[in-house]
Amino acid sequence: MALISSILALRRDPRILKLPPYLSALCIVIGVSWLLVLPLNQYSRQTYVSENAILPGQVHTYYGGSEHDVFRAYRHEVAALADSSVEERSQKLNDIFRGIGLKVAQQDYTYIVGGRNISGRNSYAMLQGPRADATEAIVLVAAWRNMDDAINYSAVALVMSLARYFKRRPSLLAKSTCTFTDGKPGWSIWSKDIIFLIPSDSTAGTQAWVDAYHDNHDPSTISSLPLKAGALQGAVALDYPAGPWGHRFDKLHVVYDGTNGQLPNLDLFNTAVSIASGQMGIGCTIQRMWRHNDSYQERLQTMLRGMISQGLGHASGPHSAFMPYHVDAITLQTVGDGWHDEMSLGRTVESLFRSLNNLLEHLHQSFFFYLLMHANRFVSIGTYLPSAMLVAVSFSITAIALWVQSGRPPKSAGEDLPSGEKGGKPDMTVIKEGGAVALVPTATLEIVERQLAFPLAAVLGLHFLGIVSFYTFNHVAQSSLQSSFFLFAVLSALLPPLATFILSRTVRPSAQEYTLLHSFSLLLLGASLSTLATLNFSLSLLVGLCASPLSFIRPFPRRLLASLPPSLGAPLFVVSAVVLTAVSPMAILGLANAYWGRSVVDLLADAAFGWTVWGMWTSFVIWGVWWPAWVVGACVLWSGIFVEEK
Amino acid sequence: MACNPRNTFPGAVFNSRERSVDLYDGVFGAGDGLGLEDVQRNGGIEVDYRGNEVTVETFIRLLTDRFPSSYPRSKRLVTDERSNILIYMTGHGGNEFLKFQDSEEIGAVDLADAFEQMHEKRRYNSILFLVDTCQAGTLLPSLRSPNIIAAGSSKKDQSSYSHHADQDIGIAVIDRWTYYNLEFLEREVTSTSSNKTIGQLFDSYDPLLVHSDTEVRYDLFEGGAQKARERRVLDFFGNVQAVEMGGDTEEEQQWREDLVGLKRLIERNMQAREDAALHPLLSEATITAAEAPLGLLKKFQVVSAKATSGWSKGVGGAMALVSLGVGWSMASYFEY
Repeated sequence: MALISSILALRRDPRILKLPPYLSALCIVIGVSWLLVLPLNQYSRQTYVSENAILPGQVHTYYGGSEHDVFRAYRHEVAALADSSVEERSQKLNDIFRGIGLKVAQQDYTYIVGGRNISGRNSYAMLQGPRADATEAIVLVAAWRNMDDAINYSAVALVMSLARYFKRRPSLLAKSTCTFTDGKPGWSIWSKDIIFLIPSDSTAGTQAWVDAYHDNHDPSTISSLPLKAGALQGAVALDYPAGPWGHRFDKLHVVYDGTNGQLPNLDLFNTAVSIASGQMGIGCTIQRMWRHNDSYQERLQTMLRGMISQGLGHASGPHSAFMPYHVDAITLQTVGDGWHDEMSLGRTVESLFRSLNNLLEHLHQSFFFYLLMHANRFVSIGTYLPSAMLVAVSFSITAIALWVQSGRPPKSAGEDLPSGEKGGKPDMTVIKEGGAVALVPTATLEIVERQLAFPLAAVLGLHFLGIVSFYTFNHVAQSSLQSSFFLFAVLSALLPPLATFILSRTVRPSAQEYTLLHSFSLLLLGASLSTLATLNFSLSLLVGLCASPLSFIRPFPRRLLASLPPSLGAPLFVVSAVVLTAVSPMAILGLANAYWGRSVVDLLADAAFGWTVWGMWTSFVIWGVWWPAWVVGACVLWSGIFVEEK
Repeated sequence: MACNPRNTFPGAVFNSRERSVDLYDGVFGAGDGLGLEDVQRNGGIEVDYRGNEVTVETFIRLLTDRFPSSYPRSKRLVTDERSNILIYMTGHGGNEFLKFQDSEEIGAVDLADAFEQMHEKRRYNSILFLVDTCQAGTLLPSLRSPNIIAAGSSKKDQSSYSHHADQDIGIAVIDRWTYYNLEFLEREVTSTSSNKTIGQLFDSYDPLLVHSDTEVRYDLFEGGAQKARERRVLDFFGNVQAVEMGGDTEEEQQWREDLVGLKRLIERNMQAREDAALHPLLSEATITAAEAPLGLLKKFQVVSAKATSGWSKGVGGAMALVSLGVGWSMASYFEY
């Protein structure tokens, strides 16, 4: 009883509100250092293939020999199409597929983003497994233009050559060769249909195709698919832009990031790496780490690059479009100068497709949420999630502290007992409970009412304003992006002081209401970020870290400004205002882009493209969640200047 | 499984990567088309239940014969109290269960109940129950019916492994314990008259090669381990009738006596026929004489197939034929 009452007495203790800022800071520090600890051997794991049916690298691959000649012929054909129009090109590609004996089809698409017209035509062919039951399909993709906008000669030729091989390889047993209706022999081991897709563009084309495949497209701008197979089980995209005379590569760069930070099942990645590096002897890299010595720094760097890529939520290759439909997909990109050639890549793809062929169910045994720090090392969500959760929790702690603070009576109500200024005694009240009698200062019994109208309205209004600006950025014409961004930055810098000034003359919100405003904003921020951590861990962590100063803002006291000598008071205020502006979304975006040598305008244009084409909602988080929280923080800082403290 | 689209050799199942014998096809071996046509043709395996029919329910019904009367006989286990049954199960399993078709399991207790029902319905004389899965030995302790010899490829918490893979099909083609069972059968049990015993089979397992410890249960068998180990492998593994060749002089002596007696009878018959021709009133005697060879024939024992003394068998057969012929001619002669 004594313990409970002493704990309850702490509620009124003025010291308890000193604790939350330190607690928040501690959470943030632990959250960041958690990440730094992950690359160590004790906290990360070796990769392994979980699905027993895959049996990676257990099959002999026979792609080679005369297939190489066929490939070279196809590559010359493809090179001849470099300058043709879209119609001619797709016609020629379809002719080649038809000659192999596959069913062909094509699809037109158009996307209108910021006044630009992005259109193209996808061609694709379907191999129906002779003994398959036509309920499932796997896709082999080679975009006509790869992510660097170079023509993907060798990849397209390889896809066509593999299409021919997968259809017609004569089997090892005379009696097990099936004969197609055209009298030619065929290979009958496919349990799923195989679709060979050649989209115009790496990201827009593939997205249009996958959306149309699942009937999720806008029929007025994207044509429907005339030819479909069963449910897609997996997709592999190739990126090999070597020209007609070939180029031997050194390693395979495996790209696995999907839209909105969604990742494919780790089994698909592990199978590809196991086959490429084990069976074929081709090294694998990730996240553009061309040389990786498996040291701590390189693991950390790989992990951080992976987090940035995931946090941006952009489509990093043709495979990204498949992810939202729960179709596991990766892109294999050839890098470097070495001695591996198209036959090695072809045999890797053959072995990978044999493994995918073995699957009876969707890949489900391995992880969907992971961070890779090396082609052979990963951490799963159970190990890394607390990091983002702690950062999100730091906001919630401050929000609760501010709520409690808003419920406290104002300081001048009698908690600081006058020490020498007033001579009289404070008012006391007698309380009788049962047999106990107590004398309590009246001030502590005062009930403080919280005025919720203004804080709620302000928070909701600002978030709505954030959504409006998000909408604006998506729809403004590309040419005016520069000026609109500049205007927006200036307006958001001016908005807090102007708004607080106007409010102090009209609505006149009290200090308590500003505290509540801050509390609600941080509460919303904390809740959004912790939910976001389960969807896109990296985005949540990055936004959380950038927004972390917001939980330490307090109204800049006017008394301080008045009491300090002018040479100190004003600069102090200016410094805090500048720091606040520096952590604004606009400033951080600008600084980050300057660091990586890109312009903010490109970033915004890509964000608009991403939202329209891929459904990427990273910019929504920035403008709809982070920016309003920043504006509230700035308003709270300026409120100290304008609010009369009673 | 043979017709699974992923099978590189459709319709064919092999038990080794040499692919020398297609277990499903007795006519064409794997060598067809590759110049190995003279490979031994072992005859196809008869498969009664395949694909979706293989479920726990069907298996238990098969063992206990709980089918409606309309169920075809070819899909039943037609056995009685004199039958020796071999039950060999392989695949994936664990602690007291065995996996069926990726979707269900049969428990050790269910198996034991099925065997007990078989015992109650007198459906077997003895059962050899062999299991090749992980932790196969855990299926054994639940068994409680008599006259079962049971062996599992591995103990509790021990895995059983595959032996080797075929890199063109892409999977492992035979498991280790099964491989060494097969090796024993191929190497030691050389003919249908082999006397190799269960004990010798079980002793042939080398844990270093099999990579797991075989667990065996003899206690359910009548006579315990000693009697169980003395049972011949072919009692269970082959559908061969046990034939015993006598070869001792006592039986031979009896043959000779029978032959002599037969000779006398025939002579008497001839004599009687001649007398009958002379004396019509001897018809009664001739009738008995005609009956006599038939009665004598009943005393003849079934002669075994083993030929230790070929000529005596030939003479005996010839005598039997001759006497039959005489009897027949007698009867037909006197019918009119």
